[in-house]
Amino acid sequence: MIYRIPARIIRRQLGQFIGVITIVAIASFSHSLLTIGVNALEEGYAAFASDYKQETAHFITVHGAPEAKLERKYKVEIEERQVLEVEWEDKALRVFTPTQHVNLACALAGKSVPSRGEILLDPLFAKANGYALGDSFRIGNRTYKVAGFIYMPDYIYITRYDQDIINNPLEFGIGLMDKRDMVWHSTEPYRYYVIGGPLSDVRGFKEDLEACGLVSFVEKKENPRITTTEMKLAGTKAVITPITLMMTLISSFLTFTVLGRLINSLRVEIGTLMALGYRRGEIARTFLYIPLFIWIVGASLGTAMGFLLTKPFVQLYVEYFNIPLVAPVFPTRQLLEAFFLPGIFIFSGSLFALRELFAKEPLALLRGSEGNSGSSAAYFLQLDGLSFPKRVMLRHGLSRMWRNLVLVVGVACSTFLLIYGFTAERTLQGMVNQTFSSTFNYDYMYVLSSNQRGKKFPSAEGFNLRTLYDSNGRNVVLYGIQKGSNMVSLRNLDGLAPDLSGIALAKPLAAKLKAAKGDVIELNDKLNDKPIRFRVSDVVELRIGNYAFIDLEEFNRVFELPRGSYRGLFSPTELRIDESLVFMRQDKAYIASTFENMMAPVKQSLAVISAISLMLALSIANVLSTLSLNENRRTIGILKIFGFRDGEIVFMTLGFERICFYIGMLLGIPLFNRLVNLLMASVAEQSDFALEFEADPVGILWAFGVLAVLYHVVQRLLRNRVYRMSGAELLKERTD
Amino acid sequence: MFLEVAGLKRIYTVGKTTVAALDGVDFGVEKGAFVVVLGPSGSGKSTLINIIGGIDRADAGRVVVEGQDIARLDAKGLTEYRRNSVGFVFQFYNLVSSLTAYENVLATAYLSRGSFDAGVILDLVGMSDKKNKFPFELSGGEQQRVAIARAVVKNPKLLLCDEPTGALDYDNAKKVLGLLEKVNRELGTTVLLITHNTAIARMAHVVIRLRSGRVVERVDNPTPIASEQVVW
Repeated sequence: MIYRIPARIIRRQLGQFIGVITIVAIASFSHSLLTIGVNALEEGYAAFASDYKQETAHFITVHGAPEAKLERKYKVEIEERQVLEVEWEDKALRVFTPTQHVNLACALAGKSVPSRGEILLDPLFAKANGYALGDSFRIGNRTYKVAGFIYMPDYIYITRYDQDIINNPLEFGIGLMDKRDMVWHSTEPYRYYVIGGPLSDVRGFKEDLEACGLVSFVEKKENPRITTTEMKLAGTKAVITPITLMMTLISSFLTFTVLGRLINSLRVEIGTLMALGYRRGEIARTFLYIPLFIWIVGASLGTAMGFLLTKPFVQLYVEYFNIPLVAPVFPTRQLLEAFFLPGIFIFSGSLFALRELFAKEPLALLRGSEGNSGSSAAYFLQLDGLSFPKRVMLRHGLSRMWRNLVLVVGVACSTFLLIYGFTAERTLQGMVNQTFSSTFNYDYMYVLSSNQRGKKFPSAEGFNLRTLYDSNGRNVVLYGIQKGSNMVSLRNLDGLAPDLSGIALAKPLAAKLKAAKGDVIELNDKLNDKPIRFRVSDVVELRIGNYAFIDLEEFNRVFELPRGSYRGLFSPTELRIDESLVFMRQDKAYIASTFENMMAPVKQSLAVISAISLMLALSIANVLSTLSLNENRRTIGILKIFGFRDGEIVFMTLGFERICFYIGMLLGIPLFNRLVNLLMASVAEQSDFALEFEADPVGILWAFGVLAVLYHVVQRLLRNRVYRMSGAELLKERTD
Repeated sequence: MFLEVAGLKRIYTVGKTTVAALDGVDFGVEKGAFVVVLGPSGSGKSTLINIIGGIDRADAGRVVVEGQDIARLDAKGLTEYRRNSVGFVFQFYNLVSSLTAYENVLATAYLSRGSFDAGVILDLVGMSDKKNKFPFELSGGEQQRVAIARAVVKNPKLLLCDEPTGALDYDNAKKVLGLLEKVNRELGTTVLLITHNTAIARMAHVVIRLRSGRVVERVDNPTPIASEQVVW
């Protein structure tokens, strides 16, 4: 018969149960949505790389390579590929011949292997330039039919040059074309080889290729078209995972506490059943239906919602990362985690509470209604100088410190996430502005194909550029700039012009390399792997990028270049340089806007996280306040009969929680400042970008404002509930 | 002897103060007796009945019920004792608020093999017309009648009543006393009732007076009056 009790209790206190179920649903929802999203992408990428035979390395030789011999010797697959670079107006398309064993094309739509007269395009280029399936694509005087949109596992991050930081699908893309169609074009296709399968002896392989005139050999780990995506994936995961885990743990921990209190609030009923002769096992089985119900409903709702919303979420990432989902990824592990994780906390909380109750004599449970739920130490506090309501409020709150601590921690974490959400976009924007407007004053940057001397363009300023790497393989982009450069305005941490006699590191790079002014660091030249020792002469206030700066003449000396020579030009205006002399050209405005776009998925994730954290904060406040009201019904009844006003009663019973809520909000700021840069440091470890966040006053105000307004609404609703309570009725309840 | 209490002590400690709620209580009761324990507030009546009922523990002494010393039982043993031997009627009824009157009785009937029919017992206490009502829909007297039905339905050897009329008006209190008398006379159940209402003592076979945790008087009454004759 007693099996009916749980359902009746749930029905009687439906509002409170809805609150608890919401928290459980939030735990499951945030876990499923974010982890499924990130993991689907990670698994999607792994499946794409493996199913479509991503290369191990690629190489170019002057003469044909002995493929069969090398394949046998190194137990790898080698395949020749022809490449045609087609240029028209300001656009360029790199067209490959299809391969059969390595770097297979994956069709998003249409075909994955072109027939004669057909061309397959990468989806980003096609979208940016408005090509649809069946459209005509003209190269020179020949027309091809667009027969498919394809992803290539070796060209995930589609940049024209290895040095390009940002991809630009409007101006550059890749395609596939039948080998027989390549001969029609005036530009001669060139040949290179791709290697599939694990290659253990790279040095031996390279030595064997020397006889064929090895021009270049690029391993997968050095291929920016692959590694950039992998770094971005890892960076996104590094941001999302700890936050998701934090949210899941907060909400799960909260359910642990709430369920404990909830079971505890049923102690008179449990005591009665014990007194009647029910065994502990029978009582436990009955009352565990309550957490079971909360868990099943909350976790099912949360997991299902998370799973349903994963699709658009993943789609957003897929477009951003340019990774095809080659097979439907069913996230069994994440779904099970999202479903079971809150369950563990719910049941442990309930069992813990039941164990505590069962340790008592039935009489103690029958007697204990209110007042014994908190710490008795609070009742011995000397609060004589305070008014009666303040005394009651403080005693009431201090006697429930554990619960209020949960409230403080929960609200602080929610505030942190909200500030993050409100600040991230502006911080990123600010960093982009600082970097690309205040520091880099040029609008165009040209990297030339050979070293230059003398001043050929009066408005431009010469510079040199070299990519280096440290012992952990982290890239450092070193600029040799002119003394008193007008194009790059650097400031050190004291706001002064930096000392460029050694290398001056951008602030996040210095942190990443753990280097300070005066240190000597060793970096390797990416061109020839030669190690070079540099003295760190300064650290500059620059928040984006792995940039380092050195005086141009010092640069030339270190790299044994002629005095006064330069390889690049910074210019405030577009320069008319013979295209054949330009190796790479960058438009700063475009870089800036693309950088912002690059952060889009992170921003979207942050928006979702902010929304969830807001719901979480309010659910915490609502559930704990409701619990407080329910536990203090008798006291409220007595206070009402005494003639206290509803506002005073709310102040006495919930006033301390309000203080805790605001303390939690305030603690959110140092928590943000402390945690966000730890998070960003882990992102920086994974990517070539190092970001630095600081709690921004506008973001803080927004976060506080939204939280305070909604909390006020919750309090108002609770006050109305107190208003509706009848003192006499509340006292009579004791006899039920 | 059906119930034998010997040297029973119970000491409560609050802060630095210790209070002996029971300070060596001794008495014995034969099976089928109607026993009334009288005493002022703080005399230890409730503590005594709680220990005999197995919902509280003694610090010293024996409580032997049908040859079994329940003071020596562990938590499991006490549960079985409460389940099989005792019916409890509380001053504030302690009905399970989420079960109807009928379900409250049924919940106890489930516990014992020799239980009576829940419907019959509810009829006996005059509550069959309100059997589907929840406790909050019943008056105090009605709730206490359901509480008696709940205690009686499992046909306990010992019915313990803690101030069963304490929260009731005169008419309802008389009805409840009538019920307890009926249970005692018709079912042969040993009833131990605590009260501070001396008038009720006249319907008991044995009256025990407690003061400051000790038995100060025991009166055996061979001619108890019927409950209808009890007035106060």
